[in-house]
Amino acid sequence: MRGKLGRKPLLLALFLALLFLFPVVYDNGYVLSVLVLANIYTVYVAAWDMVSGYTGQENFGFALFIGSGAYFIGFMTQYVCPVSPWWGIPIGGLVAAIIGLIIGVPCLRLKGPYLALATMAAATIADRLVIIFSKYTGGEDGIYGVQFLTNSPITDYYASLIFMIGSVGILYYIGQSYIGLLLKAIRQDENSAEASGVNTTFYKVAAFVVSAFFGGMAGAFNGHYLGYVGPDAVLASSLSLNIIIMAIVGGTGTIINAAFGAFVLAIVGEYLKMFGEYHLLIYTALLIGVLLFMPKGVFTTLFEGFSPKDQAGLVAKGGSSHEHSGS
Amino acid sequence: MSILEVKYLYKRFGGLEATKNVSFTVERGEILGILGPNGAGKTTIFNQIAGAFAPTSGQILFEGADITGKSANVIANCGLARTFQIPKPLQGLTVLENVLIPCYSERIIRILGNRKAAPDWARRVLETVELEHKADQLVDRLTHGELKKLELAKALALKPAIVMLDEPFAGLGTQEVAPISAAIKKLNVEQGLTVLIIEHKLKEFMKLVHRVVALNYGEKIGEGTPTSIISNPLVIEAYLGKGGAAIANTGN
Repeated sequence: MRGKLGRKPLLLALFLALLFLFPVVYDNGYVLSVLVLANIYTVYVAAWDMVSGYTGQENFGFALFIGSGAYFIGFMTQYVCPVSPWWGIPIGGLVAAIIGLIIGVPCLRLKGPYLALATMAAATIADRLVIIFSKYTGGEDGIYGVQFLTNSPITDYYASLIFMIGSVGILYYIGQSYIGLLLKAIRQDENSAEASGVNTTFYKVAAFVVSAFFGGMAGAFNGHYLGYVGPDAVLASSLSLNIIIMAIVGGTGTIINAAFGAFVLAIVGEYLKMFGEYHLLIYTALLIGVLLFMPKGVFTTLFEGFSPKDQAGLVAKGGSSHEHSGS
Repeated sequence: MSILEVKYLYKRFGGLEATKNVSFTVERGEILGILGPNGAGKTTIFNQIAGAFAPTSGQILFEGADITGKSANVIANCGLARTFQIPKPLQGLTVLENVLIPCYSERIIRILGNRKAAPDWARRVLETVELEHKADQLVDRLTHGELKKLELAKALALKPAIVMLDEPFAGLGTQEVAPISAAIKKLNVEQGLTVLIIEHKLKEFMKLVHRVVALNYGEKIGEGTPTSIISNPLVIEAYLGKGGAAIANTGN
C-alpha cells in the first residue's frame, strides 16, 4: 500500500517466520504453552482494540465476551455433548457476538466513564452469576472435560499461531479499510461524523459485535486448549483489566501495535514469575515506565521510528494510514 | 415549492428560550444569510435543521418532506449538509482521508455506484475549494484558513442540495476569505447550490447573500434583501449599530 510503510512489513514477516520456525528449533512444552497463551491474549487485545482503540469507547468488561464464548462450549460439554474445536470456536464467537449486540445497543448510548462502568458491571454480573448458580456452572471450579484442541503441544502451538495470525489479520484489515476510517471519525467527534452522514450508532454497534465475536472465539479457543472453562481463566475482572493494560502498553488504535503489546507482555508476565513475590512489583514498575516515557505505547513509538521521515508533511505514518480498498 | 421551510421553530433549554417560533423559507438556488448578535440563536437553528437536536416544537420541511427530529446522519444523507464553526479534523490523517469520511456515506455511495470511486470524488471536491495540492498532507500541518476550506469540502463532499455554513470566514484574513467566498459563489451560480450562511464578517457576508433573516434573543426581527435589512431600525439597534450599517452598506 503506497510503498510508504518503511521497514514494517519486512520486520513483521521476519517475526512471523521466527514464530513458525520456533518449535523446530526449541521444542519445550512449557515454553510452547506460554506462547499459546500469548497468542490467545493477542487475539483478546486485538479484538478489544477494534472498539476501544478505534472508536475510543473503552470496554472495561471484555472478559464478558471471552467468558460467553468459553462457557458456551463448557455448557455444551456438560449438558448436551462434547463439541469439537472446529465447531466450538466459531459458535462460541457467535454466542459472544449476540451478547455483544444485546449489551452494545443500550451501553453505547453511554460515553466515557459511564460506558466503562456499564461494561465493567456487565462482566462482573456474569462473573457473580457463575458463582451463584454454581450448581450448574461448576462455580469457581469451573467445568472440566472440554474436548482438547489437539493431542500434542506442537500442534496446539501451530493451531494457536494460525488462529492468532488469522484473527489479527482480519481485524487489521477491517481497521485499514473505510470502516476503520469511519470509526476513527467517530472517536474524534461524533457530531461531526454524524453531520458527514455516518450512522455512528450502526458503526459503533457493529464494531462492538465484531469485537465480541473475536473475543468469544478466543475464549472458546482457550477453553479447548485448557480442556477447562472457569471464571479465573475466562471471566475474571483482572482479565478485562489486563487486556486494557496490554493494549495501552502496545499502543491503541492500530490493532497491530496493541497485538504486539499483548504478545510481549503475556510472555514477560509469565517469565517474571521466576522472581516470586516480586513479580507484580517489577511488572507494575515496567508499566509505569512505559506510561511515563512512551505514552502512545511502546510499539506505536517504535514503529514511528522505523517509518520514513515526515519531511514535507506527507504521510509517513505507515501503521495508521488507510488503504481504502473499498471492500 | 421552497427547498426548505422552517415553521414556528421553538427550542427551550431549561429556562432559556433559544429560538422562539422562528419561521422562514429558503428558495431553491438562493443564498440566505442569517444575521444576529452572539446568542441570538443562529447556530441553534442550524443544529435543529441539521438534526443535532430536535426542536421543542415546530416543523422543518426539506423538499416538502418533514425532517423534524430526524437524526443528523439521516438528514445529511438526504442532501442537507452543514459545517461547524470550529473545524475538528481527524488529526494524524491526510486531507484526502478527512474528506473521504462523508464520501463513504450512504448518499455518496449510492450516487457514485461503488465505494472504489470515493477517493476520486474526494479529490474533485478538494479541487473546488482549491485544496487539491494538499490532498496527501497531514491535516496537522494545515493553516487555519486551509482547515476552514477542509471543513467546507467535507460538507460539499455530500453533494448536498443545501449547505449550511456556520461562520465559514471566522478568524480569517481578507485574503483568506476571498477564495472561500468565491468558491461558494461559484457553486451557487454554476450548480445552483442553495446556501444558508451565518457570518459576522459583514462586508463579505453582504456581498454574498441574496436575502437575510435577522434574529435577536431567539426571535426573528427582520427579513429581506441586504439593502432593506441594513436600514431596518430593529436590526441596527440589535446588531449593526450606526457604524455597522455603513460597513454593511459598502458590501453592495
